[in-house]
Amino acid sequence: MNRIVVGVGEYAVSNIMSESIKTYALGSCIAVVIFDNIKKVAGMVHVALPESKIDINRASELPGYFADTGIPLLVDEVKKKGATHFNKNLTVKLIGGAQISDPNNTFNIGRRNAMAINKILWKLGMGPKATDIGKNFSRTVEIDVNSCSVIINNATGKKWMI
Amino acid sequence: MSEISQNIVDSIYNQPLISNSAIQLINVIGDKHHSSADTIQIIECDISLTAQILKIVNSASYGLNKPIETLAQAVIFLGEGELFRLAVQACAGSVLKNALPFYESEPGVLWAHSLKTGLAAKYLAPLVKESINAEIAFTGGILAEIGKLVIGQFLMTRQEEIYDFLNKDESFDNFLLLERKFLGTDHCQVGGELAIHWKLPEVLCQCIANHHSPRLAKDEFKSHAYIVHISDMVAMMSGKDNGIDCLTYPLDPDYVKYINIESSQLARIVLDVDKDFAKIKSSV
Ligand SMILES: [Fe+2]
Repeated sequence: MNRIVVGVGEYAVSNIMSESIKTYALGSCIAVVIFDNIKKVAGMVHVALPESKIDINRASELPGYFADTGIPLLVDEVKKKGATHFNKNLTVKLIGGAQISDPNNTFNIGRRNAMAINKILWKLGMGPKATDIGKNFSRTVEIDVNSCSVIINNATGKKWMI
Repeated sequence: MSEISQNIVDSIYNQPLISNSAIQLINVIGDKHHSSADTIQIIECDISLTAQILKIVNSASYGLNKPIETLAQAVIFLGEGELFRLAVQACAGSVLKNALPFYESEPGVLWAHSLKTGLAAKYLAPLVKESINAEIAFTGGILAEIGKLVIGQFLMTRQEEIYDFLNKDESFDNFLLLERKFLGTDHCQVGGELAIHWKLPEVLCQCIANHHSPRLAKDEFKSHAYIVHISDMVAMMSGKDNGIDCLTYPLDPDYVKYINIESSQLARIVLDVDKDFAKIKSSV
């Protein structure tokens, strides 16, 4: 099995059955996983912040860093690799977005990431089929192209699927 | 808190020191009346440190068209604050880059987390309400987790038991309680003791000992303690480059009394820390 590792703000897509895509330790970042299980195409982007307007230069260097630039790009890229051209037939799963509880509402980047992502997906006529977001722990996630199964683990190595 | 057990105390005294130059530099920078000549003099006496700094400054990431050959030139180009940060980074790195049992999910994450915490403190310093020493705040960020160097080995011997405990209670949100449950102490208390043993200025000892409980710092040091606390949170938010305890500490919401920060500024700092961190990685 060949594993493609996605860093913060990076994305990857694959249509090779023997490949998987993985990102480590999401913190308040969110991994957006988009796949077509019939055509066997999978993609993942590791989104760190909601909006690219705070640094448009960074967004052009690393579009996956922001929800508003990363998600449309990932949708285009999975289609280029052979996924369905109908957005509504693509499956979306969201993982990460750990939350720091802050009554002052400043540290809620995890929740703001999730809100921004849902808004963009909605505009694209898509919605997440499954999510594992929030709470206060960091997640690692991997999608296997062949089965399109999404496996998550925590820092102590405990695993589960969504 | 209870007395620290004798074998942990022994381990504190046996920890290798961060370099003498670093301790001298930190004490000088903590003194309001020092001059940049004092900083240069301490670095100059440490040949290997001088060489490391000049190597970094002349690396591609600084994009100089003419090489910098002396510390006197470096201080003009970088400013004293940046020169100090490079020196502390180099000295602390040699201790914090060592493998850390138990906490590290992969090698090097203690150092990466510490560096990100220091960088976050650098960007947060201008937002603090009362005037603070930005270099001390940076150093507090770099050294906040030093207690883990001591207790990691003790927790490692009970790893299986601890993992079982963590996996049973998903809502568990305070790693310090876990450290206290298994060891009778935590990495803050032990780090504070280590800082005293290293003869660091009191403000830093207080920042390290209270980086997860800044409200317990002495009043005169609270601004520094809150900035280190918040910087640690910023470093944990990025997830990557953190240990197994990532995000399992509560935030003290009273930071608003000491730091003026809005969510858009926080996002900017997260981004700047990531960019600086990438630059540092490429320069060494
Ligand atoms: Fe800590």
